[in-house]
Amino acid sequence: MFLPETILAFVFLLIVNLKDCFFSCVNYLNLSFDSQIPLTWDFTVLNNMLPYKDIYFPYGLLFYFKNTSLYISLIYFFLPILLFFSVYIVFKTIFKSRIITFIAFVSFCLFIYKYTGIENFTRYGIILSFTLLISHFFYKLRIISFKSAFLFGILVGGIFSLVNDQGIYSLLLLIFLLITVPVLRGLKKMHYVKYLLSRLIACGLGLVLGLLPLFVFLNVNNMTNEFYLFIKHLSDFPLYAKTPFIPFSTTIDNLFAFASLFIAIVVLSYKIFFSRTKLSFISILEISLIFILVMLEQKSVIRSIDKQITFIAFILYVIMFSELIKNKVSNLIIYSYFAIIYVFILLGIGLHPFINYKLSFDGNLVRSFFSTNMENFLVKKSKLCLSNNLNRLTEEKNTKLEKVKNIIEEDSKKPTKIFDYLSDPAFYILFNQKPPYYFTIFEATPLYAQKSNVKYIEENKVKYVIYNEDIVRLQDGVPTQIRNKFLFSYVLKNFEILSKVDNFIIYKKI
Amino acid sequence: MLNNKLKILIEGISYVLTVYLIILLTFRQLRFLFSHPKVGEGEIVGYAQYFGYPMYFETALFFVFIFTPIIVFFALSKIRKYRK
Repeated sequence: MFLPETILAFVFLLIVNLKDCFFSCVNYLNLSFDSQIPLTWDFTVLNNMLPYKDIYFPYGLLFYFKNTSLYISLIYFFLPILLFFSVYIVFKTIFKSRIITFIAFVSFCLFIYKYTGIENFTRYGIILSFTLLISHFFYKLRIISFKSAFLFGILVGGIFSLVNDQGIYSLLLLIFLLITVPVLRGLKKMHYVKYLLSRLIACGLGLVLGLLPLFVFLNVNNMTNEFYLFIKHLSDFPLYAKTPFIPFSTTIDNLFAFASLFIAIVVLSYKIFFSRTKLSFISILEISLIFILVMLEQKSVIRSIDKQITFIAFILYVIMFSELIKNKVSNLIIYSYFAIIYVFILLGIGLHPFINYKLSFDGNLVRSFFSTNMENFLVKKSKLCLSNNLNRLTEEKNTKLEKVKNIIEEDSKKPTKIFDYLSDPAFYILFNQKPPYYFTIFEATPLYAQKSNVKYIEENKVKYVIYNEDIVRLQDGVPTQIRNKFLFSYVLKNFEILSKVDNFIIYKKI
Repeated sequence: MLNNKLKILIEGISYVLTVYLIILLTFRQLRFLFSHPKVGEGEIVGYAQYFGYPMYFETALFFVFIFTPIIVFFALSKIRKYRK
């Protein structure tokens, strides 16, 4: 079934992933606001802080424990391979020719490594793979059985347990396909309502079963209530994070995704309203991918994620192309199409990569991998990578972060507690101090988050507050005294200026 | 001579682009149809609230962008059926 070149490609992917996942450190290119956040999470997980309960973490258990938990790190290791595999299977189904399948698959892998980044692919690739899988079943099984709907529900629950947002997208896609595909296939109205209700119930039951591991985890750690609040507060995200979309939507990455959407919708509308042909696998794939892109674009409308989702548009283009060449197009055109894609990817023309880190291979990690047990190795690796990043990054910013730290240490003469005013969480790592629940400016906007930060300052008897004057530029131009009125007033009432270093103001408790 | 499929596609796309052009030309007026977010005591203040940016304007515009081709091709198919 699998050809030698395909097996070779997967062995190659496995080796590359083994190197990236276990033998390399993610080294951030700069100490920007965006790089400090994942570093802080690496620090909190090493300090046994739990997501939802001790720290705000929106990406799910998989990404939080990927470097420290044995089972989750194994899932994280095999996941990208599985995601690539699903793409390969779909290419194999739609292209038929082994050479074209292989060429298309390699072009996709190159696209991921060049533009998307394997970490981002591991996250958003989940919904892509789910889309490909579920489209296949909706095509093969003319009527989705109760049992299949139940199994889909379990899968969605499992995805939600590990990566919350991908689970929500998967659930919405499943419901959407259950509603639309029978209509497009012309199922009779009487049967349709009964069919839809029974399948939705089956999905719901499966979902509950799939969510069980998450509920057990939440219950064991006594944080069900915190998780509920986390989910409840997700709806605040557009309110504090919304930025204008139209002026920034003309990026090449966004236009790439928009154009794929427009072409796919036009082609599909034409097929549905004018063509008498049956609903093909490609049509179901297009419907599903359009739905996914539309959902992801909703997030982009709030706060641009244009670079993260270009690979879904890329797949959509390849699928549309496969339909175009179905009707006897010469091989020359096909090879030229992929040759152009290869040239664009390899030369990096057009799109912008979403990669702000470099994966650095470390020979010590290889030795450690084979000499210690896996759990110890993971902790050792996490500590090593965190310290590598911090050393390199503080060297880069030594005139600022180190100076601030020295001034505070000289003034306090003994270990003390600080509060970073939501812009440079790397200070918590430097001071070896557990950060507050909401440690970045965006999540700390709502009043309940500001009150939580004031509580943190009081409970930890914080003596120093570090305020970065560039914070307004870091976010979206909204002055801190407006965005965080309650917290800012509290700091001004209870702290006075001690010193100023570059763009940092150090406040001391009165 | 253009074949029938291509004719329909071109006709449909030209209507869709016309709708997009109308939206583009009336962009400012459309934006004012949406109310600006409230700013009150204890309420979240982000970019949209501080600069008075209509929160759901772009979402609405996005769905117009998505649904226009579907509506246009649906309408075209109905008109063609009616003419026959």
